[in-house]
Amino acid sequence: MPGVDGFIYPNEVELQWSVLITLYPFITGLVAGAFILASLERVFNVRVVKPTYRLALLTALAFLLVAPLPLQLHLGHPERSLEMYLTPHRQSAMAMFGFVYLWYLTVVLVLEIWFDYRRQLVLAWRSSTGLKRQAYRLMTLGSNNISPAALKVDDRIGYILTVVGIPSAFLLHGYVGFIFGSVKANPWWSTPLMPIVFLFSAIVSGIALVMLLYMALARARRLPLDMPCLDTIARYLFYAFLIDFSLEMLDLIHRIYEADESFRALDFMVRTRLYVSHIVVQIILGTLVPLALLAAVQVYRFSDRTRRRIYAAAGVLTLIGIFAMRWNVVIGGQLFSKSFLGYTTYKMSFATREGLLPAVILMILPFLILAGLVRLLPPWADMGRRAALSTAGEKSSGDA
Amino acid sequence: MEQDRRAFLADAGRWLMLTGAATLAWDYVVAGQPENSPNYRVTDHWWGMIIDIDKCIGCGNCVRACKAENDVPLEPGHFRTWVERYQVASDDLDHPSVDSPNGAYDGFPPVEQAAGNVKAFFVPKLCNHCAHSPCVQVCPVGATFASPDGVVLVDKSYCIGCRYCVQACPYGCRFIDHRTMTVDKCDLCYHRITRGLTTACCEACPTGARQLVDLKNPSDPVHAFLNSNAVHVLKPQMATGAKVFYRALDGVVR
Amino acid sequence: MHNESDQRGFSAEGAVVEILERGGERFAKILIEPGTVLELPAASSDLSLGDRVIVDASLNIERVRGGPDPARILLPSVPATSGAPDEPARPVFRDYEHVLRMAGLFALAIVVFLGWRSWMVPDDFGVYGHYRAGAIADAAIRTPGYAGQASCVECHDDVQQVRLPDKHATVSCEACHGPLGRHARSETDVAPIRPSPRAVCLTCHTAVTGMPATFPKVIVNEHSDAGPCTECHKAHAPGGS
Repeated sequence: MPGVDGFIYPNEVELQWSVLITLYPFITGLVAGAFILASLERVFNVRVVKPTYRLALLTALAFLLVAPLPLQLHLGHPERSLEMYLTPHRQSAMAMFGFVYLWYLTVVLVLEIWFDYRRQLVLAWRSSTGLKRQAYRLMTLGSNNISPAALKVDDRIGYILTVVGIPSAFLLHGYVGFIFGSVKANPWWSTPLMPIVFLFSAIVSGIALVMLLYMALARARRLPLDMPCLDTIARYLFYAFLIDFSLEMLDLIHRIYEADESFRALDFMVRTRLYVSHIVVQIILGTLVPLALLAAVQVYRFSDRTRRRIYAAAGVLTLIGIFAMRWNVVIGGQLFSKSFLGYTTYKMSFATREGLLPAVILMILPFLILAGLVRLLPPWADMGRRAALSTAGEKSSGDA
Repeated sequence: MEQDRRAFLADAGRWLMLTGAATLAWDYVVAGQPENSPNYRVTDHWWGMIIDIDKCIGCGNCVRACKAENDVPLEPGHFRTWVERYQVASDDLDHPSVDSPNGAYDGFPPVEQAAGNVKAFFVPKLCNHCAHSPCVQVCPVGATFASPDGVVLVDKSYCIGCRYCVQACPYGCRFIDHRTMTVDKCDLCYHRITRGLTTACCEACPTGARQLVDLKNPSDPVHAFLNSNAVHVLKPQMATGAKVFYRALDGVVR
Repeated sequence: MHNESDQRGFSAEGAVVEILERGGERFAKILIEPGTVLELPAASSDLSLGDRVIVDASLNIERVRGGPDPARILLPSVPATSGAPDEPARPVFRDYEHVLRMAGLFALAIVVFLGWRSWMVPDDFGVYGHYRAGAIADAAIRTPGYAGQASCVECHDDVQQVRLPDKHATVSCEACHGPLGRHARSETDVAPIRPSPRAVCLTCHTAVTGMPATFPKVIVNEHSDAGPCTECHKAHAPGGS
């Protein structure tokens, strides 16, 4: 049979989970990572990264809204997908994840954004006209109390939400890791390390994304780029990446050492079918090169401009590398037969429901949503709009 | 008064008709519910299968019978049951040569030359109807489940087609039916065994290599079989509680 | 961190959205654009809510005369917090009220969900386990395609008697004749097709690598010519030729 080497079970010819299912952990990973970056400022008082606080929250929201779409396109019966909320099977990680997603979207993200932006929404309500005015009014739920006492309440609640949000973010993406890691039938997936590896690679990808967005948006709006902020973000990216890399190496070394039943088949698969995506893209280009770049910044002094370029390169390579990691887990886990005696091939189509085209569209969509969100809920106040207005300037609600 | 009486009669007539219809419908419903059928009580049975490797001749009758009985698509990748052939050289036990041409739907190609220093045998495979099924565990909506009589079934009107169960099955016995975009797999010919018949694959097997067994039935031959033979299940390390028991299954079989 | 103030002819236009009094001094809050609000001392007392003003780099406010009619800028006529003392007093109910609105929205969503759920979930779900009980009936309701040996023997016992002494007695009728459930239920008037007296035998008896050693197998070319097997073997008792 074309594309098949060795022996596979007759039902294993076609891959069950396509590139869309690769997109899903990538997107939720970006969400979790962006949120963790935002929480650095709010909970751990890393004030220097304040310029990216609101941007990180909006990014997380934009991506989380898109996250269910690849799943809906993949399902055989998307019209029945709400059954997961109506009759969730409590033993199923996938079912329970539906609630984790809902919790995170509503309680953590939407509520936190609401409490943080509420003052701005009320002011916007007061100063706009027509349809925009009604829209802002709806978003404030009709309450226009922005007295300092009310804002203090908002700040307190926002803090609590962020504190709750951190373990929720861990749960969000750790759960996705558990969905794979708990499948005993698949030795490429089945490891207790999977949720942790997923989580740390999520943090890495989220931080990289917010860093890149911050650089891009600041440049687009001709705002000054806050170098201490950027340097701190890059440092956190470096630390997270070190942990992520160590975890993945631990898994690899463990597998090679124990060399159990599945090892020979998996090893062969990595050397052949997954060579480019795993060794070249994920490990070399996507992990070692960015790590080296970020490490260089920690050790040597570079000019602002050079550092910006290094960060941009490291950020882009990181995102590519983390996507490759998702690909290698999801697709790689289906390329070998459960008989350990053969391999199949992934034939990705282009313009079908689960092909490359919808995948590309789904990756572009969150940026479009983000563009809309930054118009509705501008984060520019944090990002250096203080130029001439600092002495009696705007105190954004984070400090109120 | 006229109006009232007419209205009353109309209502009564309607009520009678509906009751009659409901009664008919109820019979239909009851007939399909094995637990209410006169001769079938769900709790009296615990189904499994025994397969004797020494008797399988690789004819593929079971594969054809299953596809005919259960309206399984003939395209590749849609098998409720299939037969694998293992050829193991005694000096290379780790690398058996395994094939299953179209799931053995057309049997196996005839031998061209006499086999050399090689042990060869057939292994029919199907859903193991596990007592601790990993596929049932992962279904997010409750579309696949183990019936009270030990058969793992799929509710095709409820399945959302997420394919998590296909990933979770260690034996590769599930597939997506592209006509319905839901999951499908061997259901132990549930519509037959609840009527006292045996499964289509067992019916068609010419050598009796496959036999349906009822572990709860004290007079079923399975008890003597299990007591007097060394039996194996596939992938015992997965602890799935598989209920398809193989006699003379070689250790090389995956 | 603060950036150097820019003295290069800066000016921004905005609308007055709040007027506060703090420690005897009047402050005006001026909205430049969503997200940017200035709070500036407004000594001049002729500023009112909705006025459009221009602020320059030295943070002087100039009320625009002849500019867009301030009355055209609509502000909600709800009681603003202006005029109230501005120190961060202990939060009173009024300051929590928006939280309760949001909580109410959540409560409403949960109630709607629960109601919708009780309407949508099938009534027989969960009766035996986490599945729709009717699914068992769905699995059981199909009509069998194969009749089963016992069914065949009911009418064709004569053939069964012929088969009994032979090794093929344990081979079910339908193993060779195919599914005949409809025939057994007299559903169709079409007689079942007689299987080919060669192909059906060769299905099992063509030598294939992997067959048990004791199983009678033939390498066809060496065994016979292209004729039907029934030339030498009786159809229902082929064991003895």
